[in-house]
Amino acid sequence: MSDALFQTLLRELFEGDDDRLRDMLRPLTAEQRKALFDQFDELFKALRRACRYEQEARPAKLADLYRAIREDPVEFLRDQATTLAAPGALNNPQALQGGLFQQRAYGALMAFYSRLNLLLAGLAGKGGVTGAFKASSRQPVRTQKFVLYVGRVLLDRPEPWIGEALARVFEQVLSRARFTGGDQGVARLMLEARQQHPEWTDALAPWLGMAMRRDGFFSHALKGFDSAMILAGLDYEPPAGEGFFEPLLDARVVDTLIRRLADDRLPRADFLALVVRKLQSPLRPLVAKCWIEMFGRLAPTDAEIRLHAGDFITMLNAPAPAASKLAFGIVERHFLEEADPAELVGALGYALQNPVQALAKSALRLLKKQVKARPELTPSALTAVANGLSSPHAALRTELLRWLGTFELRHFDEETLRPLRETAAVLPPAELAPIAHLLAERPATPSDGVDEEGPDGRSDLLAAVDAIRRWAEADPADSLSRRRLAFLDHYLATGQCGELEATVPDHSAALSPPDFALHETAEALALDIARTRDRVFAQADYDRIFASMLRFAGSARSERVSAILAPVLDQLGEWREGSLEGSAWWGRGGELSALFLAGAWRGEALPSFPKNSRGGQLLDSQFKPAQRRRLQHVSTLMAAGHDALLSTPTHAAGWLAPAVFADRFNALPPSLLYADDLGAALYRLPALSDQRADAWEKITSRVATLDPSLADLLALALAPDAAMESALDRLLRRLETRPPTEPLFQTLSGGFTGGGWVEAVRIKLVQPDPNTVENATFRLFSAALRCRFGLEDAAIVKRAPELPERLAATRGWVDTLLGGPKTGSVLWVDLLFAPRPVTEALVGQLLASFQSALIQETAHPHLWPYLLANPHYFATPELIADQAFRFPPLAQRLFEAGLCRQGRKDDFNRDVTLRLLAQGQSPQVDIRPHLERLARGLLAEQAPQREVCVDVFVQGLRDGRVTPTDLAGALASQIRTTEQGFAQLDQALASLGATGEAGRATVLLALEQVIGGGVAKFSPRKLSLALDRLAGSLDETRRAVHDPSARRELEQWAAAKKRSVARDKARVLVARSGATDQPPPPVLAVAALEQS
Amino acid sequence: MDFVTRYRQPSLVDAQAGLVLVFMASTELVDDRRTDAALPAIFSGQIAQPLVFRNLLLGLRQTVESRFYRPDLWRLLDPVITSGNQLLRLECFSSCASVYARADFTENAFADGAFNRNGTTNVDFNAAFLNHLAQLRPGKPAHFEMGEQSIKLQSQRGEAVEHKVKLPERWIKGFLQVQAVHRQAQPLFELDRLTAGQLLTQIPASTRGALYLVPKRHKPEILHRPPAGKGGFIAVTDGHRLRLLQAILPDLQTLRVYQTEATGASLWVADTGAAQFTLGLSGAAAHGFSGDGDALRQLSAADIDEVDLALARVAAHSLNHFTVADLAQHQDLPLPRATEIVDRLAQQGLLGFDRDRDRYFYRQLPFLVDAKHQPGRLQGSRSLLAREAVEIARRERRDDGELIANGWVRGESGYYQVALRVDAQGYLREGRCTCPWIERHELRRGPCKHLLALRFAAEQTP
Repeated sequence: MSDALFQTLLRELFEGDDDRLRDMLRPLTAEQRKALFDQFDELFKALRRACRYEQEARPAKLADLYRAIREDPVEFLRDQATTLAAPGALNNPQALQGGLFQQRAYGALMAFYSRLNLLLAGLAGKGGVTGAFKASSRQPVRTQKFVLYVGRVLLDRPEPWIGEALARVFEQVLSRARFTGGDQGVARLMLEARQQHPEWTDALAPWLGMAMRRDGFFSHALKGFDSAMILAGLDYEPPAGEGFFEPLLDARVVDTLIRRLADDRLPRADFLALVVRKLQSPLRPLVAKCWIEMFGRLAPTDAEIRLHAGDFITMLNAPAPAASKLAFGIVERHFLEEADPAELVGALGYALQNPVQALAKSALRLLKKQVKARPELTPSALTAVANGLSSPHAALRTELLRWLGTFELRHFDEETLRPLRETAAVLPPAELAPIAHLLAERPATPSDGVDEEGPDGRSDLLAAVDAIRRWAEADPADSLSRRRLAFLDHYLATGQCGELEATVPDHSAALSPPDFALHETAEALALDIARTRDRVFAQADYDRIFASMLRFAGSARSERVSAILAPVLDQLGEWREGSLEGSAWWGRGGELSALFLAGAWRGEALPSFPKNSRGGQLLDSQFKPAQRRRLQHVSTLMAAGHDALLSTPTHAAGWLAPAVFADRFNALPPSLLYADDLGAALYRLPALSDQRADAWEKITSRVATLDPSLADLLALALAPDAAMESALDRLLRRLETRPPTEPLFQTLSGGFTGGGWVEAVRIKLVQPDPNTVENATFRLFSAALRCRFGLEDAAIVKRAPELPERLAATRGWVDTLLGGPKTGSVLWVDLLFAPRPVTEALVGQLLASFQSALIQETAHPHLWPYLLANPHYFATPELIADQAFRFPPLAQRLFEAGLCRQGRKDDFNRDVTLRLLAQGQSPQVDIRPHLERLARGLLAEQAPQREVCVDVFVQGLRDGRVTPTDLAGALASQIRTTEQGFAQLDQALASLGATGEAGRATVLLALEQVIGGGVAKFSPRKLSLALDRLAGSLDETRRAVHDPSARRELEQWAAAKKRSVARDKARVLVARSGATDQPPPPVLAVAALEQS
Repeated sequence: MDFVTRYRQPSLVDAQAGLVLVFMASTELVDDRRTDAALPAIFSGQIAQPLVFRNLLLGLRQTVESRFYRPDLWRLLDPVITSGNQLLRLECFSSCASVYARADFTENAFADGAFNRNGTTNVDFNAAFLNHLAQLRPGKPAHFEMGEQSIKLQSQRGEAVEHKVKLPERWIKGFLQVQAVHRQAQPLFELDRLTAGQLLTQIPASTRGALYLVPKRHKPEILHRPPAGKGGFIAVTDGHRLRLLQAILPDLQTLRVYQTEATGASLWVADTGAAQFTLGLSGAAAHGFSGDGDALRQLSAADIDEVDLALARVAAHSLNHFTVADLAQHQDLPLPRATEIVDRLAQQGLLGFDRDRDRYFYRQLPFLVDAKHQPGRLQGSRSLLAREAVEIARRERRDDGELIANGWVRGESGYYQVALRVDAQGYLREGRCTCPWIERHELRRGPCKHLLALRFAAEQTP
């Protein structure tokens, strides 16, 4: 009998359905269940383990399992369970794979697992049934109504302990399991349990709300659910952060509730009590809104509201502001005069301290009404008002003080006056005028500057001028100090502000002492190479490491260095194998670079990787071919015993001092001269004509011994004009006859080649070799042109007027660079030889014919800014830093590219924009023509974007590239025109003010300009913020408004008859007194520049 | 597993007639659900200011509900309540563990508070309790009781009882880290009610990076960059966490601010007069109080004497509120040793630190963490020392007690250069290691095993 039942149940488990299984279980006696459970027990364990998710397990099929178990369960458990039904055998990627059938396979697993638990619940003992309901993320998702079906099987059982077990299911399993949505039938199970066993009602009551809330409201009609379940479900507060369904957010549920209330199927009094109770609890704003709307739909009568009078008084101080607002309205309408006065005044007094200004104002209004109606409440109301005086809202304080001011001293006893005076001591004295008659003495407030005597402006200025004079004398090369001194002397002599001459950006930073840090020891180099975690090697890292490899060539195999490098070298095997799937190999790209660097340093052959290995797939994107070519060159130098690389910069900014270049060049045997390294060095030479001339002088004799082509390229870069012209002629002729084949832009082989970029296909077909003489020569030609002409757009035309014509005539070879004479190609090639400033229009024009986010490399660094200006272009911030480091003058163009992207809503890679804009902090960037565009960045919603713009302004002020007057003009224009986003602009002004005296004075100047120009059209909020900012700036500088027109405007506002916030603020500003003979803000700013 | 360990009486150490007598108290394990009717409640009292009580407890609830890092993950709702030294303390962490909150109710917060004995429990605030809490009204009687197994809130509307729940083990690590961080905190500002209110209402709802709070009187300002000049501001990373204090705003009288320089963690004590609400922010939301990093910065030896530890535990229990110096004096231990012992006790969740009162307080927690359990990094450092993997290149003990050392440590997967500076108080002020852990976290999560090993080796070197 048992065996037959066992087999029947087993078949239903594997091949049947829930209902049939339940039908079979229903007639079983307790003894039969126990006997069957003993037979199934081990099987349950094995099958549940097989259903638990495992990443890697030998897959098994349900049919195979059934077959094996059916034939001999004992043998299966003994011999096959560990292999056929290993943990995860039914639930791992291999078991479920099958493309379109994957979903079906998982569905079958879900159904099987649900039946398995159903069977368990039907057979297990008292302690085991709850196991059928437990779920974890590693188990298969249950089928719909799973809990209901399993629960019904439990309810069918004859044992007396079922009620207790069911209570445990609700208590321990369901109430603690994280709810992930989906109708599991929990509420329906609760309903059926209560209907079938009314005697369990009390025992199940604690979980009524939880059960109903989980999925009861999914049935919008709430069919079958009684009012107790509905009320409990609505009352239940689910744990925060769990995705419980909020029933009142569903209009259909609300309609059902209203219908039930209308036909008395839901007791109105209980429901109203629930609503009132809920509104007093800490509800989230959205949920509070639902309950308030429900309260509105209930439209309680006056009698009903009076029943809850106490609740509404409590609700005045409810945690949810919306509920408080509702309560204020109800209290005022229904029982303001009938409520217990003491309690009401207490509640209103406490509400005065509500951080929500509107609620505190409502409290004040009701309090005034109460006192008017019942004068005997005055003392307690005044005590409450005294407490409310320290509200953070100035407008509320003003109202409170005005009201207090209407009372005479005789209204107060000592007990009321004491807290009032204590509170007054911490308030701004300017606000205390209305209650002056109530205060014993005026509280001292040393930090408040309103009535203080301002600083002696002229003596401070004289001191600052003296300091600047000393700096100028100590450092005659400091032209900024000289110009500032001239400006300030002119002011002191005439009382008039002159013009401060702005600094012209140049490459003088390259005159500073070398600061490119190299490794001090071989161990330091080894540690640097071995630091691969979360790292992308930057250009500066490579330059530093290459230089140190040459210096410490002999130490690569020392014991300590070998120990440090061992973990890196050990990775080689892993990179030569496997695939990139399912692991974080993309984030470990630094290891690849380190492998090459460590190997090359140790004199080993550079590693190679099979095409489909991890290394083979990632190499080109992680350690680019150009860097590999340079590393190869370093290896050659090491083998030759040479200890310096021509292109290693001397400055952290990327500059290479021309004299150092000349020395290295002369020391380098011609056979070791590598074109790309020479090109990299040329990009780094600053435009310092004397130094370049000296360098040319030093290398001339060596140049003469070189290959004619190389000699011409060096002449193009550094020789005097006449020699350059003839060299250029020869080079152009050579390029015509032997044109380059390497395209301007390229994707990398093995990279995102499937991205649909036509160029990628072309490159694959042509497969240009970047190492050919033609290509190497052309890259060097490009570097030499940029070395000579920089990025000054007109310069190339001026210095070599015939070049564009010549290029036009020989466009054939140039056009091949971009695959044909398309409009876009022409433009790109023009930019290759005559780069122009990056503007939105130019970028739009370029990208119209050349759109791709898949470009990964160009050998011409000065073309990057035009690509990066496109907000759709995906790049890493490191790439931008690398470009400026390779070619420092590029900072100007990169900064312009950042301006093109800033503020664009479609710029999803804002870190790149920040890095691009940050280039403007470099002194060689001319920001003056871009002030207006840059000021627009101050409106950005994201604080980091605003702050970068502030940084650029501050740096410009400090090094004199922008004058305070220029900057104030740009800010004033922005303040005038900005309406939306003014709060952000205000934050940015605060940031600028926080950078120091110069920033503060510049903000002050801008605000005075704006107010002087008239603020009648400003919105009240904008005007209020602007006046607050002005007051803040004046407080910090302890000044009064200086600009006469601004003062006149403020006086007009202060004299306005209509009460407004602006009028109050204008009055305070007009009443300010500052030091006599205060210098105007531009003078203050210029005097303070150095202290910023 | 959840045990309550109850001693019949404290263990004692006494000296009599030249002999040291040690009485170790035995324990009785009791059923977690059983309540002893004979024992009075740990605390019982009428709530003097119901709305203040409500707001502080709702502030705690809001804290445990908050997740400032990975907000998609789960939340916990289990404050720990401790009674002792005429104080009722309710402590909790945000669910991401980057915020620690504590409400301290003094005896003045209750009309007739009876602190019958010291004790601890931890409960969940469920919906029924919150409903009762939300309906507290000024002038209406309300009674609060704390027992071994539950807390009870009685008001005119009825009674709400919260039963004891299991304490998350993660919180015990949090308690360790919080006391170690807050011990280093230095006072920065004390703000009056107006200024504090103005400052807290300006805190933006979400921030990225640091906020710089300039608490100028009457005109506090919140900036996104450090203001020029020295001092006068506090930098708070992920400063929107401070919005949790807005729940206390109506009751706030003064706000005292402390900060730990080394980690940037800050401590905000909102004083309402009879009660204080303390909000501790970790250095960043992504680095919560869930490890043992800061305690490890203080450790000066890999091993600790178990007898010392047991005796100190007894002493801490009997002192209840004490400073490290008090414990050192009581146990006749040098200060650094007493600090280590305090860390070990805190590691078991037994001690909290009240920075505002500058005192440790004893928590009578069940022993969820084995007293012999040691953090993994400490075990790792011991293993390095045992393998003699530390090579000291330079060691210098300065006149002011500061220790400076650098050297090499051969780990299992690399050879690392390590350098450190330990101040005279035994706190690891600076540490550099070329291992991936420090490379990624610097000292934000405490020292790595290599730094610990170098420190222990350098301290043992004469």
